[in-house]
Amino acid sequence: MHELSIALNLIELVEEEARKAGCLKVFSVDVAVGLLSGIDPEALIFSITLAKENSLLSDAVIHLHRIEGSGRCRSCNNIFPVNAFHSTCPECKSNAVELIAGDDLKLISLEAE
Amino acid sequence: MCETCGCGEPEHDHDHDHEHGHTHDHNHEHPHAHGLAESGRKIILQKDILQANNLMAERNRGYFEARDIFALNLVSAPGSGKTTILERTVMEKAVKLPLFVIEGDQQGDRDSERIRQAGAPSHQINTGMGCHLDAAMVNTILKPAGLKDHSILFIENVGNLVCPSLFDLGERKRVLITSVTEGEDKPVKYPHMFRSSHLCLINKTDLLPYVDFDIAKFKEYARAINPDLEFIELSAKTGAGIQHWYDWLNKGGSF
Repeated sequence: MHELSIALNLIELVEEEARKAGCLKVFSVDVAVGLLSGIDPEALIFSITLAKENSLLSDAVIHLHRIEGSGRCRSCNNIFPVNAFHSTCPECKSNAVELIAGDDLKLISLEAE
Repeated sequence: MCETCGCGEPEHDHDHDHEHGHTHDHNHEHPHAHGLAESGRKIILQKDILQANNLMAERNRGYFEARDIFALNLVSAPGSGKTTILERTVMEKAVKLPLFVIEGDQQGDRDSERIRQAGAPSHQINTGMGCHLDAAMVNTILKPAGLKDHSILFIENVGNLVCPSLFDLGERKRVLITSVTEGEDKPVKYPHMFRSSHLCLINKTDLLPYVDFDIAKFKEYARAINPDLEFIELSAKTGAGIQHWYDWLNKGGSF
């Protein structure tokens, strides 16, 4: 499953950033997963828990922030929550909706020393 | 509830309605009774987790652009006909530029061998337990593959409609191959793959008399997910419609 690939990428990224800041132990990691990112948050948590063993994050707490989707209507510029790629504007009922948030997959921050 | 330890904190609302590129301070302090002190300093990063793959993909992209190589990432469910379409493309010689193929499979080199038998150089990447190709795997094979300037490179991904959608390989165009035996609601079920592709080949049209596949409905579902997706209907078995694919390739990926 690809969540394991993502988890391994995350561990590498966190270790790189921690080392850049001169830190050797990571206490917590904040990750943002958009609900339209194609990543299953539970599977990602599971994968991170496995992947972080024997790393600088082995004892770190992982905070996973689920980011809701946002769409902007190309017809009337209305911004509204979306939970699917195919959405209809609640104002003008147009199908021309552009996704402006919700496919994030980000390392937001970490706490380390 | 804390995602990792399941402690009984009241649920804090993490619903953010924000635009890309906007930085927030998500400094939520939640006291936990699970014995691990959170200390040290906070480092705000806002980095894409897949940046390592994306950076490598850009290196691949730069390499292809510098050498005028038209690189394509072919994705599909297993059995849609990717290799058969490539075999026919190689054998019929209607495409003007030299053709190269990189094959991705969990194990074996049967697909690579088929392409070599058809008459084009092919290199195999075996992913083992892996379910998708990534940019680093493609990068390692670029030099051994002996690619030529002014050529077309087909990267045939592992047959999988889920995972490859997230991994940019550095391609110029992503081609999704689907077939009439798969059900017209595929776009609804696999939106990420349809959303990330540029061209959709609808294969096995010779079987249309025997299956309940509504091509118009399929395209409608697909365009709802990706309004810019283009389609070519063809049969790799009979050759029907395949000239449109050759024309598209000869025009560098346009109609």
